Amino acid sequence: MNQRSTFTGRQRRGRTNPRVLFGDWLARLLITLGGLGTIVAVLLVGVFLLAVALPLFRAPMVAFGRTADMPQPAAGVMAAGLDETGGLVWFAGPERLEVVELRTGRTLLTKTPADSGLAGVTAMRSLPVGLQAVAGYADGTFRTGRLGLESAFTSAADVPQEARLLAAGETVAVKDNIFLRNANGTTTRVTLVADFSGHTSTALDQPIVDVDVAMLSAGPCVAALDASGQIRVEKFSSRRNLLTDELLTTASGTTIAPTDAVPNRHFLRVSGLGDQLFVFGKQGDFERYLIRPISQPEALEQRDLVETDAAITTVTRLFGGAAIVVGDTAGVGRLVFTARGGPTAAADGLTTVVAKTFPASDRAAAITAVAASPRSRLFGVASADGAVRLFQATNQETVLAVDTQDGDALTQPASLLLMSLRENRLVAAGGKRLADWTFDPGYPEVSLSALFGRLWYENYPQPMYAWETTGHESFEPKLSLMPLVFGTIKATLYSMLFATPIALLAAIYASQFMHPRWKARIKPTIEMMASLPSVVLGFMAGLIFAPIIEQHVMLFLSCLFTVPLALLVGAYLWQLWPPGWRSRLTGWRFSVVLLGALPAGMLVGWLVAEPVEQLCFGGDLFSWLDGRGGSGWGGWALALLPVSGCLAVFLTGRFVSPWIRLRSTAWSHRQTAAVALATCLLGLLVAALLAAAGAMFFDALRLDTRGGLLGTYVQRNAVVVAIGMSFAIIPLIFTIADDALSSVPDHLRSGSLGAGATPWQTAVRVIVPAAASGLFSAVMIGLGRAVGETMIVLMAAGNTPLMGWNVFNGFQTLSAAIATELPEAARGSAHYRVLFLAAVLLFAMTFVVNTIAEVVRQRFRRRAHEL
Amino acid sequence: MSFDHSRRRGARSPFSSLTAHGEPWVWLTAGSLAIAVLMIVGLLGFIAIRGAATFWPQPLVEVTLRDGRQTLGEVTDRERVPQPSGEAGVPLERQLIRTANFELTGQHYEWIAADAIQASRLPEWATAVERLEGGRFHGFPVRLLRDGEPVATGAAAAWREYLQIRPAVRRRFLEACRIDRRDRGNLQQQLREARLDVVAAGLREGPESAAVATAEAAEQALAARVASLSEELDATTERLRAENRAWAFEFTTADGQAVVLPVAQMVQAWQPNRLGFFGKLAVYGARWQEFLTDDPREANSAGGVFPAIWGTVAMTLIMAVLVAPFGVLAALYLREYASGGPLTAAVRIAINNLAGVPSIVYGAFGLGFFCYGVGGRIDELFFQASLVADNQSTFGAGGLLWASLTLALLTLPVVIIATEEALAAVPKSMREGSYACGASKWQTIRRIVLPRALPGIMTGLILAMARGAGEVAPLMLVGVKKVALDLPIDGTFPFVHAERGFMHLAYLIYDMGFQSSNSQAAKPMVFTITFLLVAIIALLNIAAIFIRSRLKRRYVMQQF
Repeated sequence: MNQRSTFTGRQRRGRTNPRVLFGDWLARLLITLGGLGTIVAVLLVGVFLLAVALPLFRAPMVAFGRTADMPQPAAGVMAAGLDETGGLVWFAGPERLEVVELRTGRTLLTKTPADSGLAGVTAMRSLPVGLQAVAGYADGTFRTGRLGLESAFTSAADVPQEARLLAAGETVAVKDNIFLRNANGTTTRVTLVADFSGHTSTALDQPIVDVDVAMLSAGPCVAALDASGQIRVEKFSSRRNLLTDELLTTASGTTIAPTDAVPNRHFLRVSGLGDQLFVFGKQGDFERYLIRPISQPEALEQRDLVETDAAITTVTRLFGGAAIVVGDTAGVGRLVFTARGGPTAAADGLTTVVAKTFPASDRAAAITAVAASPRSRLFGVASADGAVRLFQATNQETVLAVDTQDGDALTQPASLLLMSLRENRLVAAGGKRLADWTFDPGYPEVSLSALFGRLWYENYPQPMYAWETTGHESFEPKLSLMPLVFGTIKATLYSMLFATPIALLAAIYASQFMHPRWKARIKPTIEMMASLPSVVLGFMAGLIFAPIIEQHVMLFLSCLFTVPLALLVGAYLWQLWPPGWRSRLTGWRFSVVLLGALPAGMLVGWLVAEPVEQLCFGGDLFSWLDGRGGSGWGGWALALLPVSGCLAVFLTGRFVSPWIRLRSTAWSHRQTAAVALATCLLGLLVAALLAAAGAMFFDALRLDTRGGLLGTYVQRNAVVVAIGMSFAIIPLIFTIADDALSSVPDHLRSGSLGAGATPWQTAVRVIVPAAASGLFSAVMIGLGRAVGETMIVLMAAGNTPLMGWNVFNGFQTLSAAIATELPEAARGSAHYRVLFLAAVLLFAMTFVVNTIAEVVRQRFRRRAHEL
Repeated sequence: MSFDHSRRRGARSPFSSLTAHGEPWVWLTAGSLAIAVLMIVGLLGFIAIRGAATFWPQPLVEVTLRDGRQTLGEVTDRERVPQPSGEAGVPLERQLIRTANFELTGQHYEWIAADAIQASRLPEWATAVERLEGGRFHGFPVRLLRDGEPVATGAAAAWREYLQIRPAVRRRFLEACRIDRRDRGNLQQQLREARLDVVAAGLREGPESAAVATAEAAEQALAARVASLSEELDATTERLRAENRAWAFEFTTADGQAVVLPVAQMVQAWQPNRLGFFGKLAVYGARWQEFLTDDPREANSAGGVFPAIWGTVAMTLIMAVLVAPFGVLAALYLREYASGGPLTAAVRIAINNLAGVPSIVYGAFGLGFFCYGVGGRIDELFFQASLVADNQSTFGAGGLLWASLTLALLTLPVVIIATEEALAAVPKSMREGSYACGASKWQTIRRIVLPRALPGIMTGLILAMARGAGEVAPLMLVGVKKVALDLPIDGTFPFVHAERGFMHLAYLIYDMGFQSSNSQAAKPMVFTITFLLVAIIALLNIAAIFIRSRLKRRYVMQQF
């Protein structure tokens, strides 16, 4: 033991019990480990959310597979496709049908056209899902059928001897079947289906140039174009006879004669729903027909759609069937779909627009082939300079690019491009070679422009923000978070506008003017409100308040003005009492306000509601809000009234009061109070007149609050949310603000009062400035709660992802979208991850707000100590 | 705090002293507080009145309309609507009458305009019946039947006889239900386990191994045993049900149709117009008892909420058990062991922040991390058979455990903050005294600091429980179910089924209010559930406030 280390100069005589030392050591270890572990675990929440969301922005990957010789020239292939796994590719040309294995480059199967009913074929099309196909022949006939590779699991007993000893991933062709060994030990049998024994149409007599087919629920819808420019559309519907169990197929169709508008029709496509027919000429001239009902096709549009000199080379229908990619010789791909409205809308209210362009090549080389993904809006474009690019149609991103001439993968431009069902393999064929790439597009539909920008979605009138994540199988996901962020901001803003003044003013009264005995009862009551479950508030707001407010909107609006008015007038009347009485009655002030002025204000509000509705809104608020009748004057008058009120208060304080003060030295108190009352009433009148004049001015300028701040009334709207949310926020802000105001040191207050300031002057000039940062942090914490509140907005906001400041309209917030959609979102899908991104956003928003509040609060705490 | 102005007149203007008092502005602040108070009192009062009134027997009014139709029902709402023709003039008054008898009229409620009513009276024997299926029934008792033969005829006699046989019928009914639910459920569970054993053996040792054969044999043996056992059960329940089927009660409705209700279907029946105050009180109590102890019926719109109460309590308790030790450990570390520096300050700010992070964010975390991450891994390791055979996840979907863990994480910052404040409130002098007496750090913490801080820690914990009990947004993602009659803790091995989904009072409010097909009929129930939930949370809060005020009295609390 070192002598200097002891303070008292005495040595310790005893020894600490080792059990105590051990206990101490153990406790330190456990508490440090447990404490640090707990803290780290809690902090990891944000990290985990980010880890789930970040793969959205993963870079796409692509790897070259191999190159192989084509059994037949790629240029002659009329239809081609891949099997389910993407390992086998089939080609159908006028000479042969073949299946090639990509892994080895072997040709596994060959069929002749004659076997499959394809002799003399001139055009073919086959759908990747369901294998529905149509073939057109040189004699002008066309037939429906099925074409493609069909996969099915086989039981162990059905696997032939040759296929039993395959290693995983290997294939063998046995007669007309291909057997494929899967990684899990099962065997898949793949057959090349080429069966054109379906319906035959003989309405056309020239060689068929182009055919297309769309699969509808009842049966296929087929269109064919012959060399003379005649078009035939036919629809087949199959129905099973319930008695005989026979499949009855009925066909109906019409022939569309050539027109002068499109002299050389060359391509035609049926929309996925089978209701529209798009016809393109080589030079970009375009026709659109409505083919529902099929017996009376109606020409809706005939114009030059692609206004360039370049000639059209490819026309491809994208997944979903509503959008078409048109490629030209200048290397530009154009996304074409029908949009609602527009100046040149056809009879059905739609206009065909070129919504987006995609640069397929840097050297303006012609587009030679386009491949549409069978499960999303991804498509690949090959151009004559050997570049193949993958684009996402919705957000116009270039997902990835490969050069087919790199390492001599292909020696000629790809005239055939295919994408597998799982979006993991790309096959290009040109000349007599084919090459394949495996790729992983990541989440191509998600990009910063898709999440936070305006996009032109299929069939939408113009580019806009949209959030729509569930729909039928082939709908276009709209993943813009902007409507949700907007909804969150709208909910927060309107709730705070309603709740903050009430909470802060109430805190000032409770901490400065209220008797401590009253306060001791009222504060816990309000704190109790803070712990009301938000689902209760949501239920009350959405199901109880919403219908009540809908019935009494006008009453609510008028009370917003009459209640403060009644309080002001009440105070001026109160001042008429002699000062001695007044100071004796101060203890009753709150009761008078609660039981007198407040109900009086509401009563006045009820009385004036109907006259005001007559005056401002032509007697019917709802139809006024809908924009039917009435001028914009009323809305402006109501909106300007608070502004003009503030102006009147300012003018009175600045000019009128000093003037009166100079003259009032000889007046009695009652006279003074009466003059004050008169000033107040006069000020109110001036405010009302100012608002009316301002409203007339804006109305004369043809500006209207409708469409902006006001608009059509929906039962669940921002006002209902604001009221419901205020139940949650008011107590929170009130409690913290009251704590901040009460913790201003007492000597400041005493000093101010002792120097002759009135309680009001003390409160406004001493206490509130001293507590300002505490009040600010109270508001920020309220803001944080409002941003993340879920149940109230879920139940009271209507959950429609709209954008617009209309206080009487619904919206959807980030939190509500997460709550309703996350349980249904497929794990790992883009939708799932975007919802996690929404959670990250919410986390970040509240984190920032709360950090500001916390830092300000700690500064305030230090300052309060210094005072 | 007012000043006497009469003495300080002099050259000063009375106007300036009047404006200095800022009376109008004080009134505005007072008005704000009054609005806040009015809001909370109004809301709580509204919930209490509507919630408590649900089960009070309302008089049954027989209304004769001008077109000769008669209906019997409770008046539940009145309102004034404008004249349908759009004329100005006196608004029409109309009443919302709960007519019940859904299977006869196709509606539960009917709006009847006041001027369509010819006469209304309160018939003495009007009876309201809560049925097992089909909702409420309103009618007049006619006779009690046994095997189709009248036992007692006339309202009074039949009713007397009914009251005598009812307990026995009800007992038999409950017995049959118990057998179906518990005994048969147990057998089914055993069968499923045996079947999964077969699959698991196949996965473990290959499809043609000996283990599979053994498991299959065991399954067949069990199946045979279960078949014989369930025959016995069938016989018992059939006997009980047959005895019950014999009894039926014939009613006539207000418009004269005869309706025969099996007595076993009648859960509660009362004649509000005959009952005095205490009679009504008895019915009220019986309906509350049913509400608190029974299972829900008819898509939760009738019956009780016992599973939801159980789920709420179980989840909150598990959450408290999880959150208490970790919260206290973290707070002890931060306050007693961590070297105060910028890092600790940053951690403290971060924890304060996390207390303000929206609950739905924790829900998303719970779903992604607990259910899909940890639960999915547990399923792969231990419950693969169920995953393969039934495509059913065990821990990989939401359940009680994950919900409790998620809420524990959500409330952890609250508990850490409260515990830290409680630790900080222990006067430094006490610690120093302890050290001076030679106690070690851990001895000081254990014997001096923790006991003094315990009330504060308890307050924090209770407030966290109150928050957890009312939180529903994260639960929607991690395991709450619309209907889950199998309780997460019950009498079958291993007694705690932490993977099971559960019902929750707060979720029930959301679900019934928003997803229910007949939300008008569900509204009274929703109010009652709201009332119950608010009462539970208010009780927890009052406990916390009580503990806090005692703590404040005993020690000087650090303010703000």
